Amino acid sequence: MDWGNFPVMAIIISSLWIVGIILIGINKNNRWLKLSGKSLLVLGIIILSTLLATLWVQLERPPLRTLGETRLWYSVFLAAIGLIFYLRWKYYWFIVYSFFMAGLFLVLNIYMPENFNKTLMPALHSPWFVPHVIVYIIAYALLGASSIVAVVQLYYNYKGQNKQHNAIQLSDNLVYLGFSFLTMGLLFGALWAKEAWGHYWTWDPKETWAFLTWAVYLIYIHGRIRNSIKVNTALWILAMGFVILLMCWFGVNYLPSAANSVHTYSNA
Amino acid sequence: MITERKVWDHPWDYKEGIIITLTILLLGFTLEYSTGGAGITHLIVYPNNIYFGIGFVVILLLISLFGRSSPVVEWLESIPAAIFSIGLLLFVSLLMGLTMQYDNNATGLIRKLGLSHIVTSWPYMLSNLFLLITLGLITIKNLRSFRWNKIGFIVSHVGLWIVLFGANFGTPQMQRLQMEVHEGEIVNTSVDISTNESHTMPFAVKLVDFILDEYNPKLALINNKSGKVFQTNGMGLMIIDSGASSNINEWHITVDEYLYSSAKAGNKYYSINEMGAAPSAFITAINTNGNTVEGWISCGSYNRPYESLKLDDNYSVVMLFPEPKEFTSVIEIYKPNSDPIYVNLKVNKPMVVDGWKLYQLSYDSKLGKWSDISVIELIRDPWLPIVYTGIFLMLIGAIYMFWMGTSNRKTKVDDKPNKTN
Repeated sequence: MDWGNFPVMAIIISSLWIVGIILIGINKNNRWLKLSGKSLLVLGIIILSTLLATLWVQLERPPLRTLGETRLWYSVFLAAIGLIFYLRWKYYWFIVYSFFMAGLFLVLNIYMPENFNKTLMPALHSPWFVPHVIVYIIAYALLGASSIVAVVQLYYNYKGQNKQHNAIQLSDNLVYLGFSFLTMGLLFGALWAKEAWGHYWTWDPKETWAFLTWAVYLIYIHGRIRNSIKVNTALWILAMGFVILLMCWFGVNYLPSAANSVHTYSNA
Repeated sequence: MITERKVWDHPWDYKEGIIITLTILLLGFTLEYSTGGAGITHLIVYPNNIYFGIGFVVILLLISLFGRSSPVVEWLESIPAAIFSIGLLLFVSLLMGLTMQYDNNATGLIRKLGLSHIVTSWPYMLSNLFLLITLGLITIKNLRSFRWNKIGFIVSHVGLWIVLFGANFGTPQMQRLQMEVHEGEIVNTSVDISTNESHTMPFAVKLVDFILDEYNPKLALINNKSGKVFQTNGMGLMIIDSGASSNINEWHITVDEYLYSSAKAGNKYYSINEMGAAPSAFITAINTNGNTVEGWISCGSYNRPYESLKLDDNYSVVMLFPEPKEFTSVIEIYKPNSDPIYVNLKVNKPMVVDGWKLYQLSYDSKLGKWSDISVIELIRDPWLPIVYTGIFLMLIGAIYMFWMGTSNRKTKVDDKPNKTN
């Protein structure tokens, strides 16, 4: 397998997921349909993980440098989180969303591979590289999921159908888990920065936006203590939080304030 | 009978929060503007940072001990105060995220309001202090009524407070110097780049050797007219190695021979090992019509020319400069009354000598792997152990949060109960 075969693999995985999702949704009372649907989802996740492992071996470095590579990880974690949270909370729409997003990220990579490049600059040769990025991507996947829960709930509220009272609990769970990973990612980054660049925090644009992301979710968590802020406000914070998160992940590279950022690795 | 609470009637809530927060922000910008955008750098210099730091902690403890019954202190310990103090720092940081920082060309209002140097401006300082106050008070309050089920809360809050405190009051004492060493030379002075001041170090450094390890160079098609590299979707570059092949645009390109270090004699390149010897490769390119072009390419070096291979009217094949994989300074460190220490200094692998952390920073990039200069960065940050203690506590807090999930929220933490909506 090399990057040239990627489109075929991506289509196989996406198809497995689409069929799996349909099988689960087609008849909610049929155990066998649901079980085979879940098996297909798991199979897709396994193939994608194998593909990542193969890439790692072939590139002779962790496939975590370019945005295209991080999208693959996002895809596999989002799928896994979607499945686990579906098994726990039984929201069909949630699994549809997470696999749709996971599939979308795979398909995006067919058109924008940004890859097949073995080189890794000296600053990235560090034992911190893998934990820092993976922990962040798990956080992004969880927090992305919490935002979609929020947006769906805001839509229901807007329509006056207040069906899902425990949606806010679902997003609380996602945010708590996501925030713990986000904190670890931030701190790993600080410890690494001290080793690589001499200071744990220099307010580099990527760091600034990472702090902003962290602070928004921190506000959400405090606001949710004994319903200190209205549920609707909390949901809006989550929706906004994801915009800032995306800004941190993709957007920073395009900001004029990031012209001197040390975090732009992909356009080398 | 329930009467409507007026603004500033206790207990305070969100309305007062908005007013207080905006006041702090306005005060920050006013102070910054009135100093003409000079910021706070000249105020918080060693040893002032120590006095300010100690004073701040003492005041915080006094407020916490003797001001407990005050409704203002009660508000500062509340959730609205937490949200507004985080929110204020978030807003100031957002300004930093949107404007160009460390911009010496900034003039006018941008400079006078501190927007070009937020980290050393009054609004940033005040928002940090506001957060240190609210965070500090609620943490002390919970420490005073310690119970084991609050451990997650305490560890994460104490950790964050220590990090913020150490970073804000300690940074003025951080020293960042650079030392340029030539091969074979022994140096014991370094320069502060921001002030151009020279410092004598308590040790001397000798550069024994500088080693640059490179990746194989890449091959690319360039447009003969525009000089642009042909690339689609991030593809279109291949790593050169003997036997490697790839399809780029309409061409199938094979590397027949790759020489890591070579020189041209006649029409051919030969392996050679001397200063400036450049990589070269013999390649064969076949296009979809069956046209075949073959020849040598080389990226050249500081003292040798590059060579490209013209494929047709539109494209040529070129070799790009190899990218660095790792650079190492083999150094010896001499200290009075002790044996020299022999170290390989690499990026991401700093070393500590007498409280100074030494980093491999750069080299003469024009000479590349033949550079006989290495630039070493020397950093001293006496507050680092404090900040690391905070980071360590925050990490424990994060792991605790992961482990407990939302069941954390059932833990009763002392703060002012709020009206439910």
